[in-house]
Amino acid sequence: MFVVTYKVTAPGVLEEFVENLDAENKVLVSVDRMAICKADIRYFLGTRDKYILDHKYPLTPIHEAVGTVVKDPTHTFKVGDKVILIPNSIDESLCPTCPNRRCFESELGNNYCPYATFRSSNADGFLKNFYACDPTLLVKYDSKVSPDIAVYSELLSVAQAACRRINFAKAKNIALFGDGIMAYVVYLVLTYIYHVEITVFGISQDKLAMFKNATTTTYTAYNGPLFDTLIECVGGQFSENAINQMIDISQVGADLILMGVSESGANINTRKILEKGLSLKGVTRSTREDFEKISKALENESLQKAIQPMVLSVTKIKSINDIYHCYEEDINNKTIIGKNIMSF
Amino acid sequence: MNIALILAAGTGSRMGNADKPKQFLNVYNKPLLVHTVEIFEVNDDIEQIVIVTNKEYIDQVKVWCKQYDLTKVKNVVAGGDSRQISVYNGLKGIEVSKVKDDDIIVIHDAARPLVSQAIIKNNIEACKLYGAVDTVMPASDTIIRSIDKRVIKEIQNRSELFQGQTPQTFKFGIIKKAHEEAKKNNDTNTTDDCKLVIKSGVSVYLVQGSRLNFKITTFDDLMILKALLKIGKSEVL
Repeated sequence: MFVVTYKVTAPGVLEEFVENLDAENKVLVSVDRMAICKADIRYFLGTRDKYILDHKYPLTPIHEAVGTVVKDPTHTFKVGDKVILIPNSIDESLCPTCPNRRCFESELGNNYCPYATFRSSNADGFLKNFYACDPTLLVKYDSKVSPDIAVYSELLSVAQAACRRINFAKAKNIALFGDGIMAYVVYLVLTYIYHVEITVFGISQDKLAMFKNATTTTYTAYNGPLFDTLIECVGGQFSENAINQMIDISQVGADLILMGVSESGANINTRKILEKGLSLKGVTRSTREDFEKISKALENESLQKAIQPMVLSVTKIKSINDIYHCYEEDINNKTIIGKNIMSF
Repeated sequence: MNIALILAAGTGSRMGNADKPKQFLNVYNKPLLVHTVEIFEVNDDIEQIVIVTNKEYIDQVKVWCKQYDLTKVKNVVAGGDSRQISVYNGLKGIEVSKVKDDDIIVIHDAARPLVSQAIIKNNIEACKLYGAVDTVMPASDTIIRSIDKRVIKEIQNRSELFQGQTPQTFKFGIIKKAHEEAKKNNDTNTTDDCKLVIKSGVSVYLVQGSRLNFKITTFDDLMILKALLKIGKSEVL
């Protein structure tokens, strides 16, 4: 079947393409909702190294999507099942000879596999009206959950992957740095799945007001106890400052979990890291198990209600101009936690 | 009920020396007809598909339906000597499904494999409102009228001109009546269903088409389709 797909061909340029969708022995899914990630924006704006971009373009963006099963010759799903699309795939046939043995540890997971393909990064993404894949790359979700909500599954799964790195038996005092969308979904996972109390450090009072079930503060105003677990969701140019502040308010032996992406290196206080014996853990992407956990958690109506404010709009893609519009809206949104969702 | 009627009974006489009609030529190891039917197969709004094809290809088309799991195809019927007769035969083929006058028939050329889901949806929605709709694109080129093919007879106002595509979508009662009246009047070679429907006194409304929804008529069209697919295949390194 021929499908329409959209690709970023150069910085700021999206183009419409037609491609033959090879759906033989694969699950055929109609893509219902898509959300634009910060990584998609970086590829769209071309704010990555030129050498990298030259190797990426043309690239179909979007790795946050949900759909409906249209056909399944593998008999794993029923027609009409609602599914979350998993963007990362691992070639497990390489595992026996791979030197990276720690992928098998559940705390870390195989999402760090150097040979993995990730949609909208080193493989084409989901911005197409139909998609076909192996059934292992789909996770069913409750049809009662709105696709506008479920489209946040990928982001929530990454937050869940971060929580896998937390030793909850020892974590008594958790700090979350950031008042953006990543920080908010980490807050959602910690609050609605792990039921732990956290302190959120941010700058914007308007954004912090969304973290209703957490203690919120600014770094300069805080004078409470030190933390044993600190999660960084700042990224970009401010990540350096945030990480150093986290180091300052860490207890001895604390875990620092880093989630924000920064294109330029961060100059961080290694003396204090040594003095306090801190551990820094990097988190990106998620595993199928993370998606399954999120799919189950989405059945919780309280979590659905807490996600709802992040749905800023739902735009039906009638032409490529609608995609440009959603990109522009998300790029220019600096004040509200949420995304402009796309639908076909 | 919404039924797609796929017309695949052409001879492909404008395809040069191809050994089979264009709708049966393989693109990515699959007949063009199958690519087109698949688009309707996965459309939520379409409940049944009827294919009209050349008599000698009926068995082959049935095999393809099985091979490619085209479960919505309920009937494959023989076409006629003209498009009009082929559509009429298709309507007879639909009638066996206890169709009602208000049911919607989406008539589409098998040789237009890039019809979008949005065009199909818009056809059905507009047909529910108006009973008869045609998919069109505003004419982008100036249309020249010449009687003797040497001298311009007339140049019409381009803003009033549109190029017809398919689907053409009608309520079953309307299209059936139009065809039966034409048959009664011995009119058997009208190349466009909308023309028949207008003759029967029903207004036909316009639905926006797409440049991509072009018809594979000549070998050049097939080359353009393959070129589009080749560009679309370009992935990251």
